[in-house]
Amino acid sequence: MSMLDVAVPPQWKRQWEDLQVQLRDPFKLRVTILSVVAGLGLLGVYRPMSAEIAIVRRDLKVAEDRLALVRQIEQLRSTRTKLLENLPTNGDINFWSEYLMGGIRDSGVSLKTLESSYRKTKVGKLQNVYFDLEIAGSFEQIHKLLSWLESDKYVSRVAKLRLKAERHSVEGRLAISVLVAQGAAQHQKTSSEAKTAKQPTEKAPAAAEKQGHGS
Amino acid sequence: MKLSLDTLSRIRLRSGSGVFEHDGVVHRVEVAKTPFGMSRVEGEGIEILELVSSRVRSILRNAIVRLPARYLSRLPNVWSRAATEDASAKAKPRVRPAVVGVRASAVTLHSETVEETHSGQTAAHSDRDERGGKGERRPTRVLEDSVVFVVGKKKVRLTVRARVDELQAITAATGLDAQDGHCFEPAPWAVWRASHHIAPIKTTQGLHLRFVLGEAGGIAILATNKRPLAWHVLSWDDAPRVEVLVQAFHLLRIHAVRRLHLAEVAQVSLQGEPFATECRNELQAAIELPVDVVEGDVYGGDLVAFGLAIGAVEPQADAFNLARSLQPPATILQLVPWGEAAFMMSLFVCMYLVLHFNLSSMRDRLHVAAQQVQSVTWANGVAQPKLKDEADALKREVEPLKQFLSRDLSFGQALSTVASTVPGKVWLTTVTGEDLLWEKNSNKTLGNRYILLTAGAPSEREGMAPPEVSDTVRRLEQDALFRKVLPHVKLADVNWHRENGYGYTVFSVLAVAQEVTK
Repeated sequence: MSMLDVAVPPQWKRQWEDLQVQLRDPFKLRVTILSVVAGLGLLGVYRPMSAEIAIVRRDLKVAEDRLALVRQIEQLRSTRTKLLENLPTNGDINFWSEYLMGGIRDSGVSLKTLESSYRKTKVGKLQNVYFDLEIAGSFEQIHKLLSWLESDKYVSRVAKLRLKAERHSVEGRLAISVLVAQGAAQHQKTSSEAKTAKQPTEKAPAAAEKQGHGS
Repeated sequence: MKLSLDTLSRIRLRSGSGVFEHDGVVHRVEVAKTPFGMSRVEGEGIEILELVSSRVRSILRNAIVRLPARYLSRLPNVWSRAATEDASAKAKPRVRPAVVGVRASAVTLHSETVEETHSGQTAAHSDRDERGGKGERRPTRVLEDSVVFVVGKKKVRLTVRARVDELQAITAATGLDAQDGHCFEPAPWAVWRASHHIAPIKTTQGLHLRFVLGEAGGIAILATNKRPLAWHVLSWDDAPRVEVLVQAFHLLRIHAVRRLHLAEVAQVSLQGEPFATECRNELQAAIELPVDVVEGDVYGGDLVAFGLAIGAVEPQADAFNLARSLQPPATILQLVPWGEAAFMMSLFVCMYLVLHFNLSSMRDRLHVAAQQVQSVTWANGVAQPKLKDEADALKREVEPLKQFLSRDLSFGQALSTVASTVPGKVWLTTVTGEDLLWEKNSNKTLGNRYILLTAGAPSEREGMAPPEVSDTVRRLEQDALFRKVLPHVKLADVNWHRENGYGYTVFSVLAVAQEVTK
C-alpha cells in the first residue's frame, strides 16, 4: 500500500475515477476543457486587467479634470486681465465723475446735474454705478458727447437716453452705466455733484444716498 | 520551392490509407484532402506541415545570410539550428494509422431499436464500455463494436461482430496490426461511405435503399441520408441478379418496418455501371418504386479500400472499429480538444494584448497629465473644490464683464443714422432709448433695448398722413445699423395737429430688438 493510498480517502479515489470516466465522453471533456480555459482566461487575464484599467482610468480622469480646471482658471484669469484693460485701474466714483465732466466739457454741452447711484449688480470686485446726467446743447454737441462716451478707451454704456428738442437747443437726460472699483465704492457712497458754470443743482446727495442703501 | 499550380495540387492537408484484403489481393488506396478537395492520390505528395516548415526554414536562412555579422552572435540558437537543419533529412519514421477492411462475409451485423428507458441505458453502457472507457479487456474469440444513433424519434443500435481469427488473418496478410493503432472496419460500412461520398443521398426524408453492384456480387444498404442502418451481401452465383436484388429489397424493407419500426423504404438507387442500368427497369417493375441510377464505381476491393481511406482522412466518432477492445484506451490527454483550447487561448492572448495596449496608453496619458498638472506651480497643493470655487467665481466675473464691454448698440451712431435717413421735411421732437443690461424694463413691450422717435411732418389736410411718415419708417427699417441691432421698426402712433393755422402730423416710430408681443 503506497503513501498515496493511505493519504487519499477511498471515496475521493472513487470520485476521481468517476470523473475520469465522465471525461471520456468527448462532449463533456470538450465542455470541461473549454470552460476551464475560459475560466482561466477570464480570471487570469480579463479580471485583473480590467480592474487595473478601471483604476488607471479613474486616476486619469482625476488628473485630466484637474488639468482642465487649472487651464480653465488660467484662461479665465487671462480673459479677465484683458477685459479689465478696458476699465481704469482705480476707477472709483471720483475718477468717473471727473472723467465724465472732462468729456462733457470737451463736447461743449451744458451740464445741469450729475448724480451717481449704486446698482445691485456686482462684477467681481467692481460694482455697477449709474451716472444720471441732465444736459443741454445743440444736436451736434450731444452727438459728440455720445460718440465720445461710446468710443473712448474706458468703456461705459449709455443705458438710458432721452432727448427733447426745445426752441433753441436740445435738452437731454442720460443714464451712463459704469463699473467702479468696489473697495473704493464702499467708502464713497456719496453722490458727486457737478455744477456747470451756468446752472448748478442740489439734487445729487439725496438720490445717491437712496440708491446706495438699496444696493 | 515555388508554389506552382502543380505543387499546390500535390499539397496534402490531411491524408489517410485504406487497406482491404480480398481473395489474397491487398487493395491499398490513399486519399488526401488537398486545397482542391478530397481525392484519391497516388505517389508521394507534399504534406502541408513539411511544406510550411521548409518555407519557414528557407525564409530564416535567407534572413540570416543577409544579417550583418555583428548581430549573428545575438541570434537565438534555436533559430540558427532551425535554419541550418537539412531540409531534405527525413523525419523519424512513424506508423500512420490506416483503416483496414474486414470482409462482409466475416462480419455479422445486428441492428435494433433501443427502447427509451432500459435500452437507452444499455446503449449508453455499451458506448462507455466499448469506446475507451475502463472496460475490461477480456480474452475473447469474438470482437464486437456497436454504435447508437438517432433516427427520427428512435434510437438505433448497430452491433458488428467478427472473430479474432479473421483479424489475425488480415494482419498476417497486410502486415497491419491492431496494436499499432490501425482501425478495423466492416467492408459494407466502407462501401456505404465510398458510395455516399461519390453520390450523396440528398433527400433527408424517409429511408433509402442503395444497391452497389459488382460483377460477382454486391451490397444492399438500408440507410438514412447520414448513416447505414443495415446491409445485405448479394451474390448472383445461384440466382439471377434482379431476383437477388428484389429479395434483398424485401428483406431489408421488412427489417426496417418490423425490426426497426421505421417507415417504408422511400427511395431506391443503383450504383455500379453497367450492371445498374441493366437491372433498373426490371427492378423498378418488381418493387413498384422509382429506381435511380447513380454514378460510382462497381463493388469490389478497390471501392472498399477507397471507403476505408476516406474514413482514415475524416475519422468519425461513431465509426466502427472491431479492434477497439484490443487497443489500449486513449488517454484523456489524447482526447482533449487541443485545437479548440488553443484557439480559445489565442483569443485570450489577443484580449490580453489589446487590454495591455489600452492600459499602457492610458498610463502614458496619466503620466503626461500628472506632469502637466505638476508644472502649474500655483495650483500645487490647492484642493480640487477650491479650484472649482475659483473657476466659478471667475466665470461669474468674466461673463458679465464681457457683456458689459460688448457694444452692440451705439446711440451716437443711431442718432447719426436717424439724422441722415429721415426725410428733409421731418423734424425730431424727442428721442428716447434704452439699452439695459442687467435690469428689466418695466415696460415689457419695449424690451431691454429700443429707440423711440417722436417726430413731426407738415400735413395740410386732416386725415391725410404725409408720405414722410412711411418714408421715415421704411428708411429706418432698411438701414444697416437698425437691421443689425434693432430690426423691428414700426409706426407707433400718428396724430394730426393744427397750430397757428398750420397743419402737421406728429408720429412715433419704435425700433426694438425683439418682436413686440402683447
